[in-house]
Amino acid sequence: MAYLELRNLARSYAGRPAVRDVSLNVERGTLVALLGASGCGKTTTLRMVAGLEAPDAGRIVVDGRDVTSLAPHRRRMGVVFQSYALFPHMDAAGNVAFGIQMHGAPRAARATRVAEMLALVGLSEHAGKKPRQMSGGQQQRVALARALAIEPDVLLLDEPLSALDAKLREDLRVEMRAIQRSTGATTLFVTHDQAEALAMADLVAVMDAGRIAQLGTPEAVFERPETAYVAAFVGRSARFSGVIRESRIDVADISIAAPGLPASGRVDVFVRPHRISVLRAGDVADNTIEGTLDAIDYTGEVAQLLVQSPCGRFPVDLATADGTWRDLRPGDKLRLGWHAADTLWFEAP
Amino acid sequence: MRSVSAILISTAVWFAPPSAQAADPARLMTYSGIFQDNYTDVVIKPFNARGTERLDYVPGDSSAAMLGQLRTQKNDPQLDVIIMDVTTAALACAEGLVEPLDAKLLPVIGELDDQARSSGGACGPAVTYDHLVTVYDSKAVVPAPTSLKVMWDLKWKGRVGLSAPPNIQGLALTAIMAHADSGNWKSADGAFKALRELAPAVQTFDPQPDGYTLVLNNTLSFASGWNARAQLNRDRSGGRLGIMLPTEGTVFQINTINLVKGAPHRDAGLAFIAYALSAPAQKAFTERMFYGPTNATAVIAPEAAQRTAAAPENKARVIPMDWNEMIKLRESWNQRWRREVISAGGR
Amino acid sequence: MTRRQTGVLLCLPALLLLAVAFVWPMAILARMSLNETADTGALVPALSLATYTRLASDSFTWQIAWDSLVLAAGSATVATLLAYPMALFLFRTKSRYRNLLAIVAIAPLLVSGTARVIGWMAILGDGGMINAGLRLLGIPTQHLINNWTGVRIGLAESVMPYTVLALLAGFGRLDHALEEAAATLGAGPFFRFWRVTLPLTLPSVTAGWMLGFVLAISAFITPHLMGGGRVFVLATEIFDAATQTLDWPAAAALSVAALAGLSALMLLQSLVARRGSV
Repeated sequence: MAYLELRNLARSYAGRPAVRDVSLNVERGTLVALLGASGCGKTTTLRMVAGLEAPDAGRIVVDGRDVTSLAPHRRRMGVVFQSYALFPHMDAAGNVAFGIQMHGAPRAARATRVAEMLALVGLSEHAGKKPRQMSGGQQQRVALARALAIEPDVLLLDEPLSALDAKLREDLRVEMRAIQRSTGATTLFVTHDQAEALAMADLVAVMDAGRIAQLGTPEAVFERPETAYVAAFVGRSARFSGVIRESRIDVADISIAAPGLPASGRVDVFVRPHRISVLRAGDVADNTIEGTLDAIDYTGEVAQLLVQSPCGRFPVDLATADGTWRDLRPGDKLRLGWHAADTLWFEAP
Repeated sequence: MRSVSAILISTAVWFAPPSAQAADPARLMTYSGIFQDNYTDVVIKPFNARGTERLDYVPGDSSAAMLGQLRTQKNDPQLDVIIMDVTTAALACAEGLVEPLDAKLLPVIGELDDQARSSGGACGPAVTYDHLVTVYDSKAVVPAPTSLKVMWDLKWKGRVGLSAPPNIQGLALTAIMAHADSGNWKSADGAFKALRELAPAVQTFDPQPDGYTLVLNNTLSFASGWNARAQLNRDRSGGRLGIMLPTEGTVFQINTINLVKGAPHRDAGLAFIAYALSAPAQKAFTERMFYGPTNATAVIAPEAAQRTAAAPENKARVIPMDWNEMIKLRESWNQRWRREVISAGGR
Repeated sequence: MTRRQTGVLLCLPALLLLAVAFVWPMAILARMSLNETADTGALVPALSLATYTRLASDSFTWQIAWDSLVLAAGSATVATLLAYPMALFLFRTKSRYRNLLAIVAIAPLLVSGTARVIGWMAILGDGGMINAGLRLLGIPTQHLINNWTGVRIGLAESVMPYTVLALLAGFGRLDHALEEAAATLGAGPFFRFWRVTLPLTLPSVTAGWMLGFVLAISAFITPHLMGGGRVFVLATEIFDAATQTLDWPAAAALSVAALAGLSALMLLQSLVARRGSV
C-alpha cells in the first residue's frame, strides 16, 4: 500500500471547481511532482494535503491513517511555501526551532536538532540572522530546514524555487533533491516548471483542469505522453493536424508515417524538435518535409530553427556539435526528416 | 503657477474675517439662543424702528467667550455695545476694555435703582436682573416646597443636581446658605457643613445639558437654576417644572451693559444703551422673558412682576451680596467645594 | 526648478497652514502663560513665571495631572483590548460585508460627542437600561455615570474607533501565510496567536494605544459631560480656567505644560520603538 494516498479529492470555490477528481499514490521516500499550468488545481491539492483547505469530497490517507478531517497542526506535514513564510521576528534558528518546540521536544534535543538542520542546508553560520538579512536562496534553505525539522510524515513543496533567479534555481534543485534523498522524506512537489519537475521527481503527475492527465516517470511523461494536453504542456513540439488515410496521416501535401494507426479519423501530430534532422541530398527518412528556414537561434548545445512549410511553422533543434548549423541562413530551402516511431499522434477531439 | 496662486488667494479670502466699516450699523454682542430671539423682538426692533440709528445683534457664546473677543479686539474694536455677566464685565472694566459711564453722560442712569448703578462700578450699569431659584418636579414633590431644606430629605437621595463652582450658581447657593446660617454671606463654614451632608444625595454636580431638562426628563427631582429660564421652561412644560424661591433667600445674577472702548459707532452705541435702560424697553423685556427690570420707573404688569424679582415680596428675599467681593472668595470656595463637598459625595 | 525646490514648494501650503493654525496659536498661548492674574481675576500683563510656580506649588494640580494620566492610560488600554479582536476580525474576514462592518466599527466617529453622551445616559443612567436590567434581576443598582466609572467607559468607547483604525493600518504586515506556516509546524490556535500574530502586530498595538492615550488625555467633552462634576482632569481644568474663572494665564500655563509633557512621552515612545525594531 502506498504511503500517501489521495482518493478522489475534489474542491470548488464559489461553485467553480478547482480540483475535480484527483487520486494519487505516493510511495514512501519518493518525490512526486504535481506539474501544471496556473489554475490547474495543483496548489489546491497540496493545500488539502497540508490541511489548509478542506476537500469537498475524497480522502487523504497517510500510512494507512485517514487524516482528512485533522487540523493542520495535528498532521505533521512539513510545508515550504512559495513565499517561504518565514517568521520575520525570529532568526533562522528560531524559525527552525519553532516546529520542534510545538512538538514538545526537550530543550537540549531541540538545540541539537536545530544545529543539525541548519548544517544540513549549509546555514550553520547564519543561525542568528533574521530573514530580512538573508538572500532569497538562504531564506529558501531556512524554509526547507524548518519544514524538515519536525520530521514530517510528508514534505510538501509549493513552487519552492519560483522566487529565485535561473542559475540559483538550478543549483538549489540539485541540492534539494539530494537533501530529500538523504532524509528519505516522502515529498509532494508543486511546480509549473517542467524542467524542474522532470529533473527532480521520481514520478510526475501532469494536472489539467482539476484532474491528473498523466502519471508517470519523467521519461514516460516526456517521451510517451498519453494525451495531447500532456504532449503540448511537457516539452516543445512540431505540431500538425491531419487525417488518417491508408494507414498514414495526410497533412496538407505530405503524408506522415506513424506507428499503430487506426483505420480512419482526424489526429493531432506531435514531433519533438530534437527528433527532427536536417537531411542532406540523398538522405532518406521515414518522414520528410520541405520548408524554408525562417529563423535560427544558437542556444548552446542546440541551435533552434524555425521552419515554414505548407503544413505550418514548426521548431527543429539541431545539435551544434558537428558545426553544420553555421552554414544555415534564413531563407534557405531545407529538407527535414524523422523516424516513423518518433511521430506522436492523438485522436483529435 | 498662476492657478496655484489663484487657489492660495481664494483660500486666504475664504479664511479672512469680515471687517467693520464706518457705514455699517452699530454692533451689540450678547447671549445667543432664546435670549437673542426675545431681546431682538422687544428691544432691538423698536430701537431700529425709530429710524435714527441702527444696531445689529451679534450672538456671543458665554460671558467668558465675549470677554475673550474684547481682549483680542483690544487694538481694533469691532463691537460697540456688550451685555454680559457682572463678574466678567468687572474684568473688562478693570482691564480698560469698556468705557466708564455715569449719569452725566447718560441721564437715564439716574432712573435706575441703587444696586443697578453700583454693580457696574465705574463702567456700565445693570440692564437685567435674574435670580437663583431651585427647580423641582411639581408632580413628584408635593406639597410645593418653600425651603432648601427639602433636598436633605433622604427620599430624594440621588435625585438632586447642583451646579458646583466655578459655575456661579454654586457660588450663589453657597452665599445664600451662608447668609441663612450665619447672617453673613461670607462666613460659609456652616454652609459647607450642610453641603457636605447633602453631597451623597447629589447625582450630578454639573447637570448636562442643564438642570431644567434633567428635571423634565425625570433624571432629577431638584436642580438649581436661574429664574428667567426656569419660568420659560415652566410655561413650556405646562407647569410640570416647579420653581421655588426659598425662604433662605436668593441672590441676583446681574447683566451689565457696556460701551466698548474705541467703539467705531460710539454715538449709536450710547443711544442704544440709553434706550435699553429706559422704562419702556425694561418693561417690555421683563414681561417677555421674566428678567427683573433695573429701571425703578418701569411699571411691570402684576402677573409678570410676581414671576420676577420686581415684586416687593420677592425683592425682599434678595440678600445683599456683592459679586465683586465674591470673586475674591471664588478660588477658595472653589477648592472647598472640591475637597469638602464633591469628594464627600462618594458615588 | 530643482527637485528639492519643487518639494519645498509642494509642502509650502501645508507648512503655512501648520504655522497659522498651530505654531502661531501656540506662541500666543506661551506668551499668555507668562501674564499674571490679579485677585479680582483681571488679566495683568507681565513677563513672569508666577502662574507656573502658583500651579506647581498646588498639590491639586499634581493630583489632576496624575489622575489624567491614569485615566488616559486606562481608557487607552481598555480601548486597545476591545479594538484588537475587532480589528483582527475585520482584517481577516472575507465577508462581502467587510467594508460595511468596517464602517460600523468606526461609526461612532460620525456621532457628535454630545449625542453620544445622551446615548450613554440612556444606557448607564440611574434609571438607564443597565440599571433597569439589574433591578429586574434583583441585583443592587450601580452608579455608572456622573462619576469616574462613567468617564472611563465613555472615554474608552470614544477612542476605540481610532484604535481600530490604527490597528487595521498596522495589520498590513501580517501575512496570512505565516499563520498557516505556524499551523503546519504544529502550532494550535493559541500558539499561532501568541508566537506569531501577537508579536507581529505588537508595533501597531503600541501605535494604537499611543493614539488612544493622546486622544484620551486631551479629551474634554466626555469627562465634562459624563463626569457629573466629580471628575477633574487637565482638559476640564483648562476649560474651566479659560471659560469660567477667566484665568487665562493659568489655562495657558496648564496647556503648555501638558503639551510639553505629552511631547516628552511621545519622544520617549519613539525612542523605545526605534530601539525595539533593530
